[in-house]
Parts: sequence; C-alpha cells; structure tokens
Amino acid sequence: MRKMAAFLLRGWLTEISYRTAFVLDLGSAVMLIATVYFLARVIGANPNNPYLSAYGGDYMAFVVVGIVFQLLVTTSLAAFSRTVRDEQIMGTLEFLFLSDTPLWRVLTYAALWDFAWTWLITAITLGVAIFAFGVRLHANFVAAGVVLALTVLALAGVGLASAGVILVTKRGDPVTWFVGIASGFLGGVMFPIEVLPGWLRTLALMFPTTHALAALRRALIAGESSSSLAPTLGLLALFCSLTIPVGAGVFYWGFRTARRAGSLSHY
Amino acid sequence: MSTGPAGKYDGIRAENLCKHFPRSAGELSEGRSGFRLLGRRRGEPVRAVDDVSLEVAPGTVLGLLGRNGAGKTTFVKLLATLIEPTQGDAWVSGFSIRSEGPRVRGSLALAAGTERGFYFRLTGAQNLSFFGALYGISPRLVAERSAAALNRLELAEAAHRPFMRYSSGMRRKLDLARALILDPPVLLLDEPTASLDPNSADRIRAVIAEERRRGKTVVLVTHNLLEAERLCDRVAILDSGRLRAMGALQELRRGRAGRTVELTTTGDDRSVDRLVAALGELPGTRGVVRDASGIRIFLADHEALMPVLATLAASEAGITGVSARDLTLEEIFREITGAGDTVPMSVGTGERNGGAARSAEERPL
Repeated sequence: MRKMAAFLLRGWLTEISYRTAFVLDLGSAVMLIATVYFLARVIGANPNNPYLSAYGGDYMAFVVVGIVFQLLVTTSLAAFSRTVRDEQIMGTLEFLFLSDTPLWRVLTYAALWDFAWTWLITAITLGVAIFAFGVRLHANFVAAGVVLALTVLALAGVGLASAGVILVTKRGDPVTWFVGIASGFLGGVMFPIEVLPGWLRTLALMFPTTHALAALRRALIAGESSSSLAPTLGLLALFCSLTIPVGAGVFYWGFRTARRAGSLSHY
Repeated sequence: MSTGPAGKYDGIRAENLCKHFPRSAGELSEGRSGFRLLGRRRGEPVRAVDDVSLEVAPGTVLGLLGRNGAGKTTFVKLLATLIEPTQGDAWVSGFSIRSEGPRVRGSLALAAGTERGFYFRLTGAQNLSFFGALYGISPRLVAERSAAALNRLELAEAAHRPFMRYSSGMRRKLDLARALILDPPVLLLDEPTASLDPNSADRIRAVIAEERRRGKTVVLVTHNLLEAERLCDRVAILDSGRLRAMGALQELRRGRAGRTVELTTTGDDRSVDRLVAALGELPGTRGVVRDASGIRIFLADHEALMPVLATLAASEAGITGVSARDLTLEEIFREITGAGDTVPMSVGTGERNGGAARSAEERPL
C-alpha cells in the first residue's frame, strides 16, 4: 500500500506542478460538454429517433457517456506504454526495476496515476453534464461499474502488450493507435453504429469496445441491471482472459529483449 | 574472503562474464541494412564485456578503469542485473545475477552517474522519499537517512528545490544520496565525480571512503586515476571488454618500471648524451627518455636507484635537479591500454621501443 501511495503522491505532485495544464485539463472537460450541449440542441431531443430510441432519444446523454467511455479506453490502452516511455525519457526506468518490487507491480503502480487522473476527469465531466447542463441519467451504477471495470481490465491487457512493444521500439506504438482509432470511430462514441454502412457495422461489432460502450449506455442511461447485460459482461470477461495473459507475455518479451540489448534506459 | 549466511561469497565475484551486443543495422554497411523494425541483425557482435573473471573482497573498493567504451558501465550494469549476460555468471553478496535477480538487486545500490534518473518536477527530498518507499524502506527511516545523506553530501540546503533546478554536480550528489539511503552491502558507483568541481568531488570521495570504513563493498568506475589511487584497494583495468590487469597498486607496479627518476640538466648536448647512454646501460634501468622537460629514467626496482645516483654524481652533464617517485597509476594505465608513451622500455628520445616492451597480458601482477 505504501508503494502505491508513493506513486500516487508522485503523480499528484507532478500534476500540480504543471498548474496551467491542470487548469486547462479541467477547462477542456467543461468545454467539451458545453460543445456537446449545443450540438445536442441542434439535433434536438426526440424519443422517436430510431437511432437513439434505446437511450431515451437524448443525444446529449448518449454522447456524454461515449466521451466518458473513450477517456477510460484511451487511458487503459495508453497508460502503460506512456509510463514506460516517460520513465525511459527521465532515465528512471532502470531505477524502478532495481527495486525489489516485482516488475508488474511497479508498472501497475506507475500507471496508477494516469488512471486516477482519468477517473477524476471522468467524474468532473459527468458532474458538469448532470449539474450544469441538465443531463438526465437513470443510472445503475453497479452495472456501469462492472462494465467499466471489465473494459479497463481487458484493455489494460492490450496496454501491457503495447508497453512491451515500446520497450523495444522506444517510440511508435501501433497497438494503441489501432485499437484507439477502432474504438473511437467504430465504437460509436459520437454516433450510434446503426448509422454506419453495413460492412463497417459488421467490422464495428467485432470490437469488444463497441459492445462495452453499448452496455455502459444501457446501464447509465436506461438503468439496466448487470443480469440484463450478462452477455456483454461475459464477452468482456472472455476478452480479459485473453488479453491479460497475452499482454503480460508480450510485456515480458519486450522487457527481456531490452535487457538483452542493454537498452532499458534508451529512448 | 568472508561468506554469507548461505556459505556464499559476500563481496562480488564474476566468472567468465561476457556481454556481446549484436551490431545494430546502422552499424552495418550502409545501403545493405535497409529498414528493419525488429528484424534479424547480422555481423560480428560487439564484445562489450569479454570473459571477465574477478573478485572484489567484502569491505573493499575496486576501481574499474578503462578508456571510453572499454566496457566499464556494461560490467556494472551486468552486476546490477540491468543487462543480461551472454555467457558466464557473477555473484553479488552470494546471489547469482542470472538466477537470483531480485536478491541481487536487494543487495546493491547503483549510482549511475547520469544527470537523469530522477523526477524533474519533484524536489530532491521528494525524490529520495519516493525511491525510499519504492525500495521498501519505512518513511521514518527514509526521512532519517535522507537527511543524513543530504547533509553528508552538502545538499541539505537544496533538498526542497525541484530537481530540474539542480546543477550537474548536485544531480550527481543526489544520485549518490539515493544509493546511500538504501544502505545495501554493495555500492556500484559509475563515475560519481565526473564533471564536479574539486570541492564537490572531494566531498564525494570522502563519503566513499567513509562507506568503505563502514564495511561496504564498492565498485568505483572512474577516469580519475588519482582518485583511484586514493580510494581503491585494488584496481581493474578493462580494455575492449577484456580485463587487462587487476590488483593493488603495488602489485600493478611490480614487474613494471618500479620507480621513476626525473633530472634537469644544464650541460652541453654531448655530455647529456653520454649520461643518457650510461644510464641506459645500468642493469636496473628499464628505459631512459630525454625530452624538452629533462630526462626521465624508469627503474625496475628500488635497488636500481643507487647505481643511478652514482652515475649522476660522476656525470659532467650539469645536473640541476633530481627527483624520484613511484610509477603512477596513470603511467601503468597508459602502458596497459597502450594510450600514450609514458613508460618507454628503452633508451631513447621520447620514442617507444615496442620490441623491448612486453604486453600487459604477459606481465605477472
């Protein structure tokens, strides 16, 4: 626990030392919601909208949940590789490895601040949407929490693989790029995937993030329970069971390759 | 030699340790290498550390010397398990770097001698607290040890300044402070005094000497040969990845020109030439060099001094100054690594006679 706290404190101290960025990050969250608010006014609320009827016809709520989801997806995918890259650049990676703490724990702790910060921004985004812009959610927070937890875990496996690649390539991470784009565009963050042409919709449905986002919307907007989301939760659990071992394997491969090449501290 | 709880050697021992790096695509012939992301690499490997076997007794300081690129940092990183060896093994506090990595890392601290390795936005004290916690030291102990280390290294006043505002010297001191707060039995110090002002360098040397007195085993990588003479119980000289010589300074001197006599003269050329020739014929003389600064006579041992003095007394070369000293580590280093002409093995005028010189490997230590 003390080690985890030390990493969190390090992240907090670093974050608040960039005061401008700290304020701008918060400002960006507010501005994004404001933009969506006015976009939603253009589209107008219509319960009979065939694309949005499953979500009560409220485009604002639809997109806000999409944005929150995408924030978490991006962090889950990129936190580990970004952590590795940052530590390489600062020359601290070797010193993290020199501790007696197992490597997977060091990496998880090091990425923890990214997750904590994203959760904070997520909470602020949702809070602003609800209290300042009147977004109405009929949330089942337990179900939403389960969906998010499984999504984060599943994508963290992909993120681990990406960190392993970064240890070797130092820069240029195709894994995060591809999954991030797939999730943002095909996952239906800004629009329902039903508007996509058939072949793209088929492609979109191949990505677990598409299903995860749909389930999150159903939990947060329509208040559906975990049991009614069971098929999606099962899919996410299956995805976790695949990505985490594969991600850990790729990470250790990258680590051993870098150690053999003597390039742990290179960037 | 002392042994640990498991009956293993407590200091450091390396046996036939090798690290061969594959050449990168860029090092291969241009145009042939092309673009390779994770592709196979070809060409002779770079032998960064090549078949090195050595021992560092517990509680002693080993100076690791060598030219740039000799393999010193690679050797230290191998010991720290930051690099995986190609062949051979080494034991730190009795633990194998191949199979007991976590225990090796628990037994040592590394001061890498770089200006990075810390979080730039955090203060020196915050950095030490973070690393202390990461290495499992209680907050109270971290606070105590940090305060003590910062005081010893004269960094206390800068403790609450962000690391990014530290000068090069302060960064190196903090690097050493981090190693000190871990308080392990083995310290690996990679050029801790490089680019420091003389006072700061002296402070760090004093701390290293104190740690040695406290029983720490230290591997000190340095280019400063006076520092090595002052601090190290033994020195190892690496060249092109190979261990060329190892021993205490006295052992390294043995078998080489053991003493140097320096003369200044005011006599004419003919009388000085006669003197140089006479000195060169003395049985204990290993070499005589005459250059603009005077004459240097390299003697095999201390016994050779008396005949030299007798020759000088009888000389008509107008001797105005005589001084005698032991061979310096720098002279030994230059001889072993072939860097310079400091220790010629024959009579001459600053030119080295290769035929008379034996290679470093041939010389018993």
